[in-house]
Amino acid sequence: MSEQTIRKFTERAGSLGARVFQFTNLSEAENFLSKFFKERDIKSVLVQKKLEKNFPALNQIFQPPVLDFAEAEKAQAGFMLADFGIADTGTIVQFYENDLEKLPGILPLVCLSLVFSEKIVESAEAISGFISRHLAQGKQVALISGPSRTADIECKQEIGVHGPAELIIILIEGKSD
Amino acid sequence: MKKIDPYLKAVLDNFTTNYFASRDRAFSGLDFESLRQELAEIREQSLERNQELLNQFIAQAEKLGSKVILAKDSEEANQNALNILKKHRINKLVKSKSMVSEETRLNDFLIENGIEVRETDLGEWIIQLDKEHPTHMVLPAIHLTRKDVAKIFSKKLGREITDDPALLVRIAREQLRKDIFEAGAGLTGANALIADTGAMMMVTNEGNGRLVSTIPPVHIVFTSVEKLYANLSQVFVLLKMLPRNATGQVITSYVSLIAGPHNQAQYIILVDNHRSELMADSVFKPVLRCIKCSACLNICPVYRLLGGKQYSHIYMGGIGTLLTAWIHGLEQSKDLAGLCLNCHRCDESCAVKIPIADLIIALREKLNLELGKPVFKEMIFDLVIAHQNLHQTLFKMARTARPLLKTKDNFARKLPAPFGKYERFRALPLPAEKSLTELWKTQSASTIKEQGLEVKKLQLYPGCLVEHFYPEIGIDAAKVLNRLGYQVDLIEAGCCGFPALNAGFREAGEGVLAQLMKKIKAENTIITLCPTCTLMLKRAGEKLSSQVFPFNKFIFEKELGSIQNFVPDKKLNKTICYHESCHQKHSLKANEASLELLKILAGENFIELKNADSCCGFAGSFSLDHPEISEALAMDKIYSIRESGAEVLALDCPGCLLQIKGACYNSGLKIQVLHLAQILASYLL
Repeated sequence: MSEQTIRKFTERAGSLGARVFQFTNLSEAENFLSKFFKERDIKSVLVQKKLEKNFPALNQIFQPPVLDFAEAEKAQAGFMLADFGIADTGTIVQFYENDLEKLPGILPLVCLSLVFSEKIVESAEAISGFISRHLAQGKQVALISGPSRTADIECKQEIGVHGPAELIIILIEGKSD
Repeated sequence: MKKIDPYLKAVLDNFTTNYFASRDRAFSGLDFESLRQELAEIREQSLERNQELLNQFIAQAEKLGSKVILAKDSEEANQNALNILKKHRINKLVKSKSMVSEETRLNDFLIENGIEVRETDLGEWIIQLDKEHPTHMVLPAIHLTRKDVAKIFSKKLGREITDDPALLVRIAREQLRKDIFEAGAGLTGANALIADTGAMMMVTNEGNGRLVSTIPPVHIVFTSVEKLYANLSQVFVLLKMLPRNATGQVITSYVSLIAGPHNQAQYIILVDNHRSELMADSVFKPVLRCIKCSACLNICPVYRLLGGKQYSHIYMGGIGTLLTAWIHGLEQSKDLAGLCLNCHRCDESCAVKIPIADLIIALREKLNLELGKPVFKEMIFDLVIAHQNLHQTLFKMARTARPLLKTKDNFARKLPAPFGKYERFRALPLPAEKSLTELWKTQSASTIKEQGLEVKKLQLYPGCLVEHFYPEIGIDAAKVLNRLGYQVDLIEAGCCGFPALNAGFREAGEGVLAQLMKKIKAENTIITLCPTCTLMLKRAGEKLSSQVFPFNKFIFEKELGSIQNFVPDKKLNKTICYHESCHQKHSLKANEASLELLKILAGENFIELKNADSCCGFAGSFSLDHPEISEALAMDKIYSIRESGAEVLALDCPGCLLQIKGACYNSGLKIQVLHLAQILASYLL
């Protein structure tokens, strides 16, 4: 993916209120996460299964380790893997095999999402066919752009009304396994 | 009589100002016109192929495990929702925003049947607690202050809550999260149904739609049959438009694409409510292109004054009026149809090019034909306007009575008390001593003809306000054209027929237009002095449409060089600003010509008028039907004019001139209000 596309993704996501941190490899990201959870005193993290599967090392970051989904509502943060990033809107794209995979992105106040630079596309249209094929198989898809927000009281922007108040995007160079 | 709440007006004004700025930013780099053309075509094709797409959608959705239910009306849709809840032994339902469920009054029905219903969209929850209904399709509680919300929350929770929006939002999150986990079913709307995959698309900012469609064991999608799209590519075009036009966002926080159920049972209830009949109606079908973005509300001058409580049945504003007529019945749309100014702003902002203003006129005709004509209007339009001889005779009589009606400042005397509301905010004009036709035949005619050149012939159509109230504008226009080398013939006709057409008396309006057409010479260019008359003449066919020029546009396009060279050193020596008339700007797109001319003529004496294109509130008989709205709009205009500090206000429309000149007089604002023809005359002659 071109540097320009990555820059656009980062800028657009930032303008929507997401925070983007860039790392050259997974190990750097793991260090960041350890520090982040420690500093924020986050002890319960809801992790998407597909992330666990791809990155077993992540289990070591979380103390205590990954929560059971039955306790999902109590989690302080959610952690997920984006299937794509869309540069022209600063969006992360999630494909879901089942509803449990949605929970890290809809329940906790803090949501972190890994995205690999190779998965960033210029526009939604670029992955339209891909999304359609997944929908035809009964999968669900979400395009997530910034934190949960509302302007329902005197048109004043407030965040975190239902979903995460913070969206933190961890952008890693290269592609997932 | 409508009431104007100053707080609500201030909120909506503030919202609109911010909305325009965000919308402009969101569309930067995109061509709005070509995008809306593309989306309009997609929507039109979807309506053409509705049955085919519906069948495809149902087959695909059911293949994925959804159960699709078609409901012919509100009653059937509500009953089906209740049946689903009973089948699953559910007594609590959480909802995300669904205007279709407002349309069917689903909440009331379910509550009457023992179901606990909880709205989860913050605005919807607030108004549910306040026992109200939404007043805006995107911002349902826009009419409430933070203090109101704090009071509502305090009552609900039985303790004092401060009016800090961040705190109020946090409380809503805690309360509603409990409800979502307790509920047996979640109900959402849908912004689009995708035929080739059986998926639905939903946009939200809060994330409640995602929770409601995921956490409870049953998901009900409650939407209407016209929201079909052939495929995802078409939905992405919608997605490019919807958030930008709705709230000025490039994209909403969440876009959910849901294809079939995962862990829960999923039901999709598709409500018809007369949409099939609407789809088959050749005139009104475009109404169903609507994507519910609310842009037409955000820019509507009347909505901005009244809000959704007064300007709605359930759906709001102009598009809401049209939807109401079909979905809830003509009777319910009767009063709403009279609230449209016909300013055409909504047409300009519509994401799918629905000609809302023209369709409101068509609806007024339908109302007259099917529910009966209002007696007073029938007298005016079917008797007086339709019979131009009688029309002219009445004006002659009024001219005879002029000395009795006149005040020292040349306005009409005050009307008796019951009619005071029509002139409280504006002095009304007197009929001129002589009509333009009479003046033309006497003192002015020879001058005009002597100076004219045979080779360049024009016909001038002044319109009835210039003919009867402001003949000096017609004389000045002719003199300017003479000076530029044209021979001008006056079309001796009164009304163009628009007032009758606008009130839904199409036959009378078109009859008057036909009489006027007989006086038009096929080979001539027609110059008009009133944008509304121009619009009416342009209705008479493509041939005539190409012959008709608003005065300002003709001068700008054909004679700009002459104007610039005529008296190169002469500049208007008074400060001047320009009011942009609705039809001139939003229908004819001819306002720029006047702006450019005035800037050339006035140089540094030209002052930008704030909100120059806001409606002055005249709108023909609207100012008589709704004087309170007309007054509020006029007062806003007066405020801007006063703030500009200009000595002269220029405009192109005699109707606006009548309103603004009279309102300036009653407000004690000393300013000259002049038609562009008068300003050019003072420059050239």
